[in-house]
Amino acid sequence: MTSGAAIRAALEAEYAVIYGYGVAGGRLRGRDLAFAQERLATHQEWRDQLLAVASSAADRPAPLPAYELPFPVEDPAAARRLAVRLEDGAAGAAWDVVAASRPATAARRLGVALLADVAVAAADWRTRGHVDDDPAFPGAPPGFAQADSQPSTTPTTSPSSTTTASGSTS
Amino acid sequence: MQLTRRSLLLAAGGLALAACRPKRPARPASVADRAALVSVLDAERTLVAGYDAAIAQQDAVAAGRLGLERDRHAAHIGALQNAMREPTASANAGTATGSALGTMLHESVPTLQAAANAAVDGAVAALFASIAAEHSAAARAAAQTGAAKRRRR
Repeated sequence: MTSGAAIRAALEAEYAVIYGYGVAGGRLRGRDLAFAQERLATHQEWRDQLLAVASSAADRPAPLPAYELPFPVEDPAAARRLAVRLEDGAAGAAWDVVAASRPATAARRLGVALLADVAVAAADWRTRGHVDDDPAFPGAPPGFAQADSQPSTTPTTSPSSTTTASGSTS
Repeated sequence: MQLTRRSLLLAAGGLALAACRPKRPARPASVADRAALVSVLDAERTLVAGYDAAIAQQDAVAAGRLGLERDRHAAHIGALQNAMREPTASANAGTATGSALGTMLHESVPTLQAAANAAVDGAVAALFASIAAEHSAAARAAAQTGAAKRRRR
């Protein structure tokens, strides 16, 4: 993947995330709603930064009017699950930006910062949803952790601690 | 809602998008990245040793939670070794408490991100960035846990 293609894909992901937070926000209240609003504003900033580093018009896709959701979002629990999906999707796109960009470039720095931001947010949403499946490698492609991890020797762990790749949470 | 190619990607929760992505680094890290890999690997081994020490001091519930976190760092070691083509080695013995682990995680993030920004190999850069992201999330969680404990006192 070229850096331009990765940035384009990240922009498409950000558009979908922004749309998704609009939907999730409609089902959330109180502190969760405030956090969703904060995340929406943050992703709008990431979108603008990605637009700034896109080197050509071809790397600047237009947002779509609507995006299909992965499941019905009819209550706060579903909205929190959607938020995890959104942040995980953005993490995958950020990983690709990092991997495809040259060292010490604006695109590389942006991808590194974006990946950290969305990983923290995804973990926060998991905590809010009482889900304990934080990935060892935020943004990594499917199969990455299974191929690269070493078995645990800690007796206090459970099978649920195995890594899920970006976007594979439910 | 309109059904589009992009919406399908979102509908699959990233799985369709991920299917088009490389599964893992396809080649050994470049010589230029080796020093950074060694440094990050040493830091992860120290961290895992710290977790082992902290787990030994905790009750079962707290140890279980720390064990999950410890496993993620053990996975980092495996990935770093894979990138270096280095055989598996165990972590050194260490000492740490839960709060010290949070500090170690927090302080590791800028170093990891600098290594990610500088890495010549994109796959190594992504690995460093991902570990930095995981450390950021874990440090934040540790800080929130510590704050909650202080509020209960």
